[in-house]
Amino acid sequence: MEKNSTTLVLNDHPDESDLALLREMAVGRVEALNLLYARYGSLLLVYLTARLHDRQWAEEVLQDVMLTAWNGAGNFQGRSSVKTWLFTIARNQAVNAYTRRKPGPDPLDPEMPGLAGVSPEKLLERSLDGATLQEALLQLPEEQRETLELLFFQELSQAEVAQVMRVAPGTIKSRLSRARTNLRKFFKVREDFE
Amino acid sequence: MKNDHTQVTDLLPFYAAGTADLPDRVLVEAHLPGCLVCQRELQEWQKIGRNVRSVMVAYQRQLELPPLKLPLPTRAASRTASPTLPAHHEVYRTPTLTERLTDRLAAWFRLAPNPAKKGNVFMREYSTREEEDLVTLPPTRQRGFYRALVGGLVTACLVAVLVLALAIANRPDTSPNTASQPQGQLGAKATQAVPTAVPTPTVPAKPTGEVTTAAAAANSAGFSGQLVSSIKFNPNAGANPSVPEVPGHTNVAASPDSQMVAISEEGTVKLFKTADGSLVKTVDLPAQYKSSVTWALLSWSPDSQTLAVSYYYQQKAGPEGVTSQVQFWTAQGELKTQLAGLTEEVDIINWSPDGNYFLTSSHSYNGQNDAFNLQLWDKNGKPVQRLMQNASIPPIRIAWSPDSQLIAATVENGNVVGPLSLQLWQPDGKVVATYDQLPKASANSLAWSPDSQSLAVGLAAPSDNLWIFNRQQLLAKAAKPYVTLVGHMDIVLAVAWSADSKTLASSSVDNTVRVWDVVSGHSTATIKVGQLSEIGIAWSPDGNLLAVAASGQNTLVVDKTGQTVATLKETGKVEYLGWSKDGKVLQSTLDTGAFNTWLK
Repeated sequence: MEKNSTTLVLNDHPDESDLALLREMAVGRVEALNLLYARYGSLLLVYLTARLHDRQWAEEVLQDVMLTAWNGAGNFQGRSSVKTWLFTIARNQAVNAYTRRKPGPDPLDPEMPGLAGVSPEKLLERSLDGATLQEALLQLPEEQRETLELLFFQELSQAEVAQVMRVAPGTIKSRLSRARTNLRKFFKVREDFE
Repeated sequence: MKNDHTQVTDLLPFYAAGTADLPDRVLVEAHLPGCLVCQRELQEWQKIGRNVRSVMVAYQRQLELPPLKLPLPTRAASRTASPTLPAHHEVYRTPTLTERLTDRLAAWFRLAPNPAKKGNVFMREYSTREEEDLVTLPPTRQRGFYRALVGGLVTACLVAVLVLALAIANRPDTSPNTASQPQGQLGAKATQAVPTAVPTPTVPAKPTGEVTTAAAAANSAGFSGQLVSSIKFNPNAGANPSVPEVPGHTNVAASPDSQMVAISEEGTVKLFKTADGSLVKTVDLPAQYKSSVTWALLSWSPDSQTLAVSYYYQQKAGPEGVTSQVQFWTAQGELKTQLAGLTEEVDIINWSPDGNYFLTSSHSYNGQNDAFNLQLWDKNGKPVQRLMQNASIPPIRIAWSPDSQLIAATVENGNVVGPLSLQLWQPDGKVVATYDQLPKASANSLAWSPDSQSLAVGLAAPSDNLWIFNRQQLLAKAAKPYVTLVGHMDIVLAVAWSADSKTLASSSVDNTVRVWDVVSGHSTATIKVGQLSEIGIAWSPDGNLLAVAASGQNTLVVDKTGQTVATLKETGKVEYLGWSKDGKVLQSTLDTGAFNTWLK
């Protein structure tokens, strides 16, 4: 792979190319940051919006996440994937934002209209199938829903989910187990679940 | 030893998600054909996974990625920048006086960006590149030329001043106490404790000690601003843990006597001397069953003789494989004792000021939900009393009264901001007061006055956000046991009492720090400091100086009237500030992974 002064050419392997982007960011290449943003911005925005239940707020926090990534690129330790590192930053920033937030409608209230002003119920209407299960998912406790999202949608491994959520890997298993128990409870009998 | 079926059952969600590693996949695929139960469970997980993805994709479709619009600081390209594996406990080289003056002068002549506006990039530039990079960087070549020119002039002036100073110094001296640099307590000890015998590759070089004070007036007001040591740590460990009510880095703990700092990261606990930044001991925590960042929650006893170390780790596969430990070490890192039979994950350890008790705030799973417990122990690790048992609501802030007679805690509905109550317990576990009329807002701070008679509560509310409770009126269940201090226009972040128990400082999201006369209820000083850190305000023990974690990666030191005494240039956002008991040292923890010790 060749690299010239104006175009970033990156390896195909995501981890390698992500690391290359961080190297470029560490030496001040803004286009590397833009590439990283293009690669992970959407996933991060979904994650943040799901945590904060406020699209505009999530967009603001996303900017903070990218600024933190820009400032911290030179300190990246390489002990996790770049994606895991970004989600760890995102979670920290969401917690920070949450701590500093002003009181108002409770963003974790499941009845509260969520993304882009669309209530979960309306969102479900647009789904073609599995609406009942999706409704149950939306009613799970926050930490269980977050665990499921990181595993099944963000496709992080058990160790990576544990790192992002700052818990022991075993805790991830127990949260998943609880989530499934709650889902089963939602449907009362397991047959509904299948 | 687990059988294959149990192991596979644990692995099924990760297998269904496609994130199981190869050995786990092999195990699952070997087991599945002969196990109908696991096949059904896998189908269940696959269905859950499909629906999670479906929900999230629906979310994603509605979200348009906004353009990236960051006020990115310009960063000079560096030949030596390596984002992969920087030295872990290296001490950055602080800019010399000449370098800082050069940049300041260059900024005046608009030849270089104002260093004050460059944040940590300014410090990183000095810490990572060779000196000659200044003039070889293409984007800054012109600046480098002028910088060198101005630098030369400044150096010449300094040399002249130095010659003059030497001439004066060589005159016969009648004073026996002449010192060439500030000699605080730690500074003197640093001289005695040069770590030549400490066998560690991470012993940092001693900082130059002239990092910054805001103005010449700073020294005359009694704050040297000399950086005694700066110890680096992994900023990703211990920060903002899953329990959001614990702010800052819980893996970094300064001893109350300010002599030591304990830092936990990457499966270790390290003990450093703050006087010179030398590593005293590294203790390895048990290895994880699967790789994961491991760190311990740390808390020193008030006499600085005992370090409480709490951690949990995955001993083997499965939820039952998680082991939770609370151990007590000597200040030298030797194990003294440990709590037996602990199964809960400990989130907070809080010592009584007399050192006779400590509290653990922990959580466990009771079969339905997380259950929160608040347990009181004596100093020998003997359980005394459960203050909260299987509560659905965690204690958000906990504070011992300085006389160790009362424990106060603010309690709210977990992550959901709900009705907030204030509770007081005696050490025997008896609830002696409850006040449940606080506004619906999260408590960011809770602090007893040094005389144990008043309790300040800072709330995340735009008004009615600073409450001062009177102890006697609370205990007497008076109808209105409090006064509110009116002034902050936004969320109150931190509160700190002065030694006289009559003066309170508070920081707010309204970008001010206020000093209050609590007796009259009036604000006596307002310091505009820009965007504030979460928790960083601290009075010196004599109550004359207030340290404030301010914007722009600065620690401000102000007097009671709000006049700036010194500005300490930090290399990250300040999360924690604390003075030594003798007031000679100020210590700061930064979100970028540094623990700094400054000499007054």
